[in-house]
Amino acid sequence: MKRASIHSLCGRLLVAALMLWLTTGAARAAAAGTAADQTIIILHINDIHARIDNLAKVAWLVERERRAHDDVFLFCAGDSFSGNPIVDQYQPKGEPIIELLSRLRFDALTLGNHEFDYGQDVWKHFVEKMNGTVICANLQVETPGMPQPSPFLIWNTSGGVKLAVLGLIQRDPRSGLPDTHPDKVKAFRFWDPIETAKTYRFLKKQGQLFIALTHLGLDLDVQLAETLPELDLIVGGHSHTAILQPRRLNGVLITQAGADDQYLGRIEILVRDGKTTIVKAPQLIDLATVRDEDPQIKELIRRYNDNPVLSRQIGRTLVVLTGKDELGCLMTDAVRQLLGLDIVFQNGGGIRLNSLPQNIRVKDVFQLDPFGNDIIRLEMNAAEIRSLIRNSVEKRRAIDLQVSGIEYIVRFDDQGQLQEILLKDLAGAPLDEARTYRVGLSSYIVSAYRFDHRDPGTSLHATSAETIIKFIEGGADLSRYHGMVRARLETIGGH
Amino acid sequence: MTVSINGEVIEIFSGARVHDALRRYSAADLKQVRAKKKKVVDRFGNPLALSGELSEGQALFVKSRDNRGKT
Repeated sequence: MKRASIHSLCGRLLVAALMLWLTTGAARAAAAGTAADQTIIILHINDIHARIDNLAKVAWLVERERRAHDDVFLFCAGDSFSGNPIVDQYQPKGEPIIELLSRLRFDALTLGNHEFDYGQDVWKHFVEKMNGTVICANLQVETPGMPQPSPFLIWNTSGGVKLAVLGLIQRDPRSGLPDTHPDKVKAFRFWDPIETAKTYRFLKKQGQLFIALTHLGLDLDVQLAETLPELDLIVGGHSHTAILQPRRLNGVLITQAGADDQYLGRIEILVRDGKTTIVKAPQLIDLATVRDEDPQIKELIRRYNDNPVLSRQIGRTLVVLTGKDELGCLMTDAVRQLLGLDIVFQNGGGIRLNSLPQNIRVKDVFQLDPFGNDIIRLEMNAAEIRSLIRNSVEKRRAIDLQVSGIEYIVRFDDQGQLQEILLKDLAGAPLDEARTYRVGLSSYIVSAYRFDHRDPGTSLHATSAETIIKFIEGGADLSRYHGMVRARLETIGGH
Repeated sequence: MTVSINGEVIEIFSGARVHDALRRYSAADLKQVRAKKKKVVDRFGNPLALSGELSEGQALFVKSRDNRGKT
């Protein structure tokens, strides 16, 4: 049976010592000889995004492979968190996906940018619960008490083949951080993934089979293959690419299994006379076509789905809040106050309830704001803000954008021509025309509306719905929104 | 950041997903992809989920599901 897994523990010196030990181990294995053919099965999944429903099928498939073969490796290429309110709103946050990943007994999981979304405490719990199987070479923990993931793992298969797996996470080249809210990654430093990978070329000598388990996106995986021909295989994630017909680039096979728990990837490798050959084209198993499920995992998923997490009451108003003005003021205040913005806009089409009940539950917020839009921060001046408002009003000849941080009046003449847009700050004074403001818009507004803006924007990696839940849970006085109006349309003049 | 769709350069916010870029490129195409009449593929022809996270310079293509060459 497989295998002694060897964790490279924290610290490069320790890693170097480990490599020396492994070198002698490899020599012993070579001396013993590995005459018989060996089959290694690699199963992989990525970007589950908290979609747990198919994991009972995954568990059944994995166990079937484990019964049939000695050397089966189950890998996850990151982003297991974020995307399903049942999991995202669970108390404690994320527990269903963490428990399920633990039950599936992954051999290695690399970190995705969304693994930080639930906060650093949950991240710590996740890494510790995975018991040494989380790997990431280009992350350095800088806060005492947080676990440092190993950069790589090496296993001896049942036939003495060494298999080395290196973990890598994406980072935004501008910010140097993964695509998550910066507050969620304060405990860490991230290095360039390609440059980091170059320093691990030695793993090819240690492992007959050298695999990168990455959360970089396919374009960077291609760059990695071009940079590191020592690799045999890249198992990737992040770009949500379903690689149905994998190809070799620079001799390196690249694969990725789509997203959202839709596929399980399978790769069969033959080792003959110490030489590894990928004998079957990697395949993506469409989980929709799988009927069998692991009964215990299925029952666990059923319990999580039946959990009344979405019925949890998070706040109460003394009066029922009704209409787009009142609800829009609440929604935009939540985003402005919790995400540190000056001004926030919410489009009317994104306010999907006519009223909020007095006893507000989690699911009421998801009905109010069901689209899962991220908040995007743009640096905008007053002229650009007017451009946005003008675009929204001219489309519909009515107030569309609800707002926090300012009030505005749009004036039309009696011929229906837009004359002016007055912007006032919170004190009622005209907006400073020379100043640049931190403006929060939904990802929908930024991509669908046409308006002047020099800054293309940066995602804050926080959805408006989750932010509103936090705001209400934090005890905000909701009754104050009763009767509130911040955006008005006026008709002036007349003949 | 900039990405391209069918060769047209799109400027979009950092952290955008496939559906954000596609909405900016063509709301009609986004609707057709959601209706499964069209699909989004990368430069290698691999299908991409609308939730896919984009990176600087990424090239996307919108193709008909019926005719691989038709855009």
